[in-house]
Amino acid sequence: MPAASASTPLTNSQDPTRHRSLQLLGILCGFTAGAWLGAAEAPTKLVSIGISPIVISLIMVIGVFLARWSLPALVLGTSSVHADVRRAPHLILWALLAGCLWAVANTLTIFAIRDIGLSIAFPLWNSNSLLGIFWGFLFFNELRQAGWRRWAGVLGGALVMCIGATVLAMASTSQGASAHSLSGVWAALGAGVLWGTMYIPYRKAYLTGMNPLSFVTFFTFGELGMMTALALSYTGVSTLWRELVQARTVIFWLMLGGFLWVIGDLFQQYAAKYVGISRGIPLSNSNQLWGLLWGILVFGELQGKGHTTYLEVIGGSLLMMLGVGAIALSSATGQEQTHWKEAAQREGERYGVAADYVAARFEGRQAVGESLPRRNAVDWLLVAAATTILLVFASIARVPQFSFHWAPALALTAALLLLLFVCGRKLWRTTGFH
Amino acid sequence: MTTIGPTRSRAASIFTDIHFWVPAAVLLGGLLLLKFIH
Repeated sequence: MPAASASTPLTNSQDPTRHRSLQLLGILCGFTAGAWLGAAEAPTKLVSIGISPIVISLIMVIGVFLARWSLPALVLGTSSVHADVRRAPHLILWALLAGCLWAVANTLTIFAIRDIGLSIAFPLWNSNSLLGIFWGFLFFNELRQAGWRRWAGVLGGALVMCIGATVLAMASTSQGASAHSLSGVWAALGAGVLWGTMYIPYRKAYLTGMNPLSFVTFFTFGELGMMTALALSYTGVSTLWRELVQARTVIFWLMLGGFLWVIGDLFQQYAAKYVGISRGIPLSNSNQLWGLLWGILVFGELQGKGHTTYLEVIGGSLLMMLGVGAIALSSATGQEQTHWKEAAQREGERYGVAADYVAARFEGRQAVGESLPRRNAVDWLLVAAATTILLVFASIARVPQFSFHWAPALALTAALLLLLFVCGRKLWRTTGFH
Repeated sequence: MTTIGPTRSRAASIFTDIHFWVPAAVLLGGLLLLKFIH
């Protein structure tokens, strides 16, 4: 096997066709992420019993934990995760850090909604994509020498999406602010800063070459650990246990929401890998549009509302689609790609990661001499354990009485599966999930 | 593939990396904010 020097410059072997293909793949992953992240809200709408938001969040995170270990085991096998970690062990720390950031941000949003209502809170924390663009530019050379048209497309698109999201939040929220509390504004802004900063570890990992499937398996330890600590500190052990027992008939729905969320998040990670955080994150933020589609069409949430509300929904949706389109048409040029490679080379040199590995993963390929990932007994055990746990909770789950429209639900599910198939197939054929 | 050892210890590389300190500081700020709000 050829030894590679960490100081060897990343070769510019990427041909324009491969470059375009990876950019298109990243954009498709961003769209698919938005659809699945939005659909993840659907099962949670079935939960209306009086359990605290923090406990709801904890149960969802447990579902996320199950999915984050079983899906990578099913797709590539845990041997692939081990191989990635051996090459870049320092990234475990960043994965844990990102998981902790996610958990704290998610908890802050609960307090923000309580204090100032969704319509004010959402646009404040949705600013995370703008912060992601800033960090991408500052730390990872994104949008360097990109030209004013691409700057306008990315920044303008993200801003238009923020405005669209604000209009949608105003239309979809029924509750007003419980109090015009300054703490709610701080909580929402804090969540935006935490989520926006969480993309630093994402980009760092993917520039170095780590597979998203490997990154998320460690991310989830930070996520579950921090969420458990927060739930215990806010509710206490006995109260938490009592609430979990009380919620046993809805645990399945919440875990299912977490499971769907992980599928969306995996595509978001691949989007961040192939088009960077400045484009991938705003694209996957279109999840609000999909969440609203489920709410309106399947759960009849806006029934009885006036024309103004419907106009807000149509206007907000159009703005979001306009923003998504602007970003999708602003993919990175060759010059910008060169700057990305410089950032990747810097990371490889700093942490002693082999340059051939970084270069190969940058192009979505396996490095020369890298053994093919294989599934083993442990992988099947993980898949079986996760499936069993979900089946156990499904067997005791109750379907609450609620308004549900089957036809749009089936249409949206078909759209989700189609996106999963098309995007998953393209990911497999283009990169083999690397 | 051969992984090249870092020229300095991995811990030193991590703790002198601004990519570590920015998220760590933001996490600390988030926890303090949560404590303040709660």
